[in-house]
Amino acid sequence: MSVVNWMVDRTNPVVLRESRQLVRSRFAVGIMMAFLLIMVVASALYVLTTGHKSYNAFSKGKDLFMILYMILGYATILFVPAFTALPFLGQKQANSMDLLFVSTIPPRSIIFGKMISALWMTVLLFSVSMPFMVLTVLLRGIGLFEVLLYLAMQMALVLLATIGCLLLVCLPTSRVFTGLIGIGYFMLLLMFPGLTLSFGSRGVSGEFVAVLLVVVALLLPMLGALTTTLISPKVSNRALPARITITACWIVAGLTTILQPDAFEAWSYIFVLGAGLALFLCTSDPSVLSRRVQHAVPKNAFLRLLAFPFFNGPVSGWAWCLTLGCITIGVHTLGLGYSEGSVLASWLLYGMMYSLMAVFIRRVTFVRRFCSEKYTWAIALFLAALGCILPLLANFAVDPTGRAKLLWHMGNPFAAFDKEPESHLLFAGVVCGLFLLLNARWIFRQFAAFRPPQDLKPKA
Amino acid sequence: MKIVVDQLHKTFGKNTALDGVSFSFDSGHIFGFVGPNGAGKTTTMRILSTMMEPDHGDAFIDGVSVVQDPEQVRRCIGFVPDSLPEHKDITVHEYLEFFARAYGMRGKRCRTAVADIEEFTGVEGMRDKVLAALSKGMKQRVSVGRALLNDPGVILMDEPAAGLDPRARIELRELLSALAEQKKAILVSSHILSELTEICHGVVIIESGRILEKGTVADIKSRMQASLKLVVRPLEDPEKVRHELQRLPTVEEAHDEAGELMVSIDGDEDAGADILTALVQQGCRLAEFRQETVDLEDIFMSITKGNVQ
Repeated sequence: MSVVNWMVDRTNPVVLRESRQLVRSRFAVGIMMAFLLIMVVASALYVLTTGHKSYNAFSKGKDLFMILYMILGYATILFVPAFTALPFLGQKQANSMDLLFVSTIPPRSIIFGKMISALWMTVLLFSVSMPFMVLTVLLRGIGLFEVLLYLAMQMALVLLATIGCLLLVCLPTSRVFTGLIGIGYFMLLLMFPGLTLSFGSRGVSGEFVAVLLVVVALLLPMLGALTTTLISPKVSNRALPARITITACWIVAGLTTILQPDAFEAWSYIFVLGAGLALFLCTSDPSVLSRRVQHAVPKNAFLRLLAFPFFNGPVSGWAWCLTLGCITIGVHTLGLGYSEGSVLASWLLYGMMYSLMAVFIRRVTFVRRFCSEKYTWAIALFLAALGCILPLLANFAVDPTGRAKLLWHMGNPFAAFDKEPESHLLFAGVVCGLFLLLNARWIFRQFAAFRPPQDLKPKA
Repeated sequence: MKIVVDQLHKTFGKNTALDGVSFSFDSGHIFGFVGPNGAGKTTTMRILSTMMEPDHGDAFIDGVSVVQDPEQVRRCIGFVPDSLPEHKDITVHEYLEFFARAYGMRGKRCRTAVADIEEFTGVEGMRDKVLAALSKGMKQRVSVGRALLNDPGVILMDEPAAGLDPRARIELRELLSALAEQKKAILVSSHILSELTEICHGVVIIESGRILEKGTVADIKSRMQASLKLVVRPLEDPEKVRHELQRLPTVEEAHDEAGELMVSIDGDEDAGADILTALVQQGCRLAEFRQETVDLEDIFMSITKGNVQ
């Protein structure tokens, strides 16, 4: 009993609360019972309808497993993320989150607790399905190890879907916008079991599941860190946990490619493409540090320089993205050659170019009257879309019958993947340099402001 | 424990929510925070509870800055929001236990803290009831209990009496008085001014982000009431009584208001007693003779203009 008490005491409070709610929730119990019933009916129908047929005598277990796996897939991928994330939406709106922030529990523990609860819920659903899975093994056609591989794959996908759902409900958008994205996300989740089943029909290898688990193991902390960032108080240094986690994942993934060289190209492409997109998001960071964050700025100039990319602020964010991107491109160029590297470099420079343009437009033009700092990312995205479409439309207007020449592709980051990345690199570099000069004072001000304050002293 | 709010400024876009708000109070005191909707009460509360940061200025809880060291501040404050806990699937005990754990309490310490709070707030009889099934008064007790779990020196309460019936208000008042006796510093924002008059040691009146009045209730009353006012209700012949009053040197003004004579005098309570003696000696028969007092509501209405940010 004391061991149980000790364990309960050390359990994350969010896990404890969610677990209690799970076993008490009529909805959850209803889902479990419905799931169990569907499993029983599906198994019984399959056995009754195929029992007399001998042509598939050695694959009955596999066939039944595929049916049951489909049911399990839909049940877990829809129920677990919904049960974990949707109450969170309610808590956000009922200010319950505020109460948590007044306590001493860190935001990362809240997200971690939610994820552990999701894991526990998935295990519960897996446990319900276990007798049926054993039945499939007894019917032959599938081995126990293969069943476990499938379950591991499903578990990884459910956790990924759950963290995605948590990220979605934490987005600082209106309910309508969240609802619209939610519908899209729901449609995506509906595709998951079908996809896993299509893999399953060809058989699933241990190596494939291992790679999937590694990818999910890297994605989970990154998405978790982003979610933590979104629920952290605005006045805190929200950038720090996300950037540290993503940097750590970037290093671990990079080191993993030494063991698995096939993944090297994927690693560099994913992180550079991600860095290019993150440049857009960073433009929306507040350019003035909150006083609480200012107090966390190191006093030592060298440490300050190292810490700069890990603090809030657009310029800090850009410094972090560019550092990660440039190192990745450098490693990529060393490994695969200059032409490959220049494709990635032009993507990154295009990202920087549109970010700088967006900041300049928001700061200097009439746009500043109706667009606040936090929507700068939308301007950057809009400019990038214009950069992709406008030159092509202009080309079509000039010469409707001819193919667009290189010149008409300038400004399109995707075109760099097609041909002559060096020309794109040059174009993006020149425009980037121009807007860097135009934003120079604003950028310098942020560098200069990155120091601890000296005015505040506690009063007795 | 001393709470110092020093020149808080906060703007939301073009709206100034707080414009140089400063006040202070000590432990063992209940401080009322009064103002119309949009005056800046909740913004101040949120800054004190570290959920928001001021643009300028600072607040210190026992010398610890809410801007510089919010984590340390959170350890010594309890916050009661204006919304009540409404969970349908969590019991009172589980709710309190969850927050005790969120404050990092474990094992025996957690169990003892929750049991003590349940006893103190009088909810031990309904610890296994779900929160949604409780009355508003009981939910408020649970909410106060949650704020007390980490034994804070300072308790911030945002509209705690809103929506409560008279009995629940009296119970809340008793709870606050008991907390003040335990040397807690309590800041209560409320619209129900009669409640505050009875329990608060001091009051801050705020409007449009600026402090209009602050100090003890008695001090504010004396400031607002420059001269002593008496209410005299003659049993018969009010004209004679008014005439007699106007002859007295300490009486500045006496006028009739719905059968009662409102008398302004130049002097203290001794002068009032002399007036009563003089009236009786002149054979005036009086049904009522009392000193007119202003309550917080009168003060509030006289100094606020109803401006909203």
